[in-house]
Amino acid sequence: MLEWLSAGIDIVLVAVIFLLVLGLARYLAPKQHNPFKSQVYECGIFPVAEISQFNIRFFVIAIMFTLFDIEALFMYPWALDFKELGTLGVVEMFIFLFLVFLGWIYAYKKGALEWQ
Amino acid sequence: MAEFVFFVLALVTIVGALGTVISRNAYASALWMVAAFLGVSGLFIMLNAPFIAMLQIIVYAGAIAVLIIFVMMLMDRRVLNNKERFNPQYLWGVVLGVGLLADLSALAFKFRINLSHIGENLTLNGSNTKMIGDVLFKRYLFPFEITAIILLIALIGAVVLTRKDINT
Repeated sequence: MLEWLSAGIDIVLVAVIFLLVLGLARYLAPKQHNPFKSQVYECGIFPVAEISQFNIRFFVIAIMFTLFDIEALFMYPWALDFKELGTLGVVEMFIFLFLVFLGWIYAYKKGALEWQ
Repeated sequence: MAEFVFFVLALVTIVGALGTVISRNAYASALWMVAAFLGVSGLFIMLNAPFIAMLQIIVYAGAIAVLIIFVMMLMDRRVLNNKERFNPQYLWGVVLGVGLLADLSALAFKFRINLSHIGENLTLNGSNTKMIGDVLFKRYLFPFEITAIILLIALIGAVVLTRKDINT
């Protein structure tokens, strides 16, 4: 009961601050709708053409991001149970980390992370 | 009190899911999806499953939503404007959705899930994240290391598939 109440107060406080900041920005910020705003982001350069194909390296980066995200996820229960697992837990985790890291080494050696 | 929390979380989830489907702006749609994920995460916390709740936030609201917005950054936004809200096959989606709802309602009826049990702790007491760690690193150690190999294969597969384009 008390836990829910404190969580609720927290959420209401966050929501109030969020809406306040958003409302303030809406009131103060200049609003201009122009076609440039919905253009593709190109670091300020005018886009040459519509993108039909983008660099395949983005795909590898995206896959790596997801994989290492999942890898980090497994470390949470490990960290909570760290004391009870002892040295064996450290060894187990590092085998896991090493196996995933092998993929990173492979991608690095193949030049998947280099941008010419 | 728990009922109230449940209904608020359910409302967040449903409004988020509806916003994802109905919104015409793809960016807004992605953000509505994050709201729905946060609602689902709250529901997991109500079920005393903090690990799954955190997984929901880190993997879904974190990685998946970021990937979707990442793709939109590269995509031309103008292409999406002035289009029909639903594609012509939405009827099949409605049929599937109604079917799933009927199925879940039938299950809830069969197992006598009634609304007065909302928010009650139906799982283990306390933090079960630690228990997951205990089981994962002792009993299911081998499958856990296999997970690492699956992740490794996914990354190697991505590099192998794109190798030709990378080297040019």
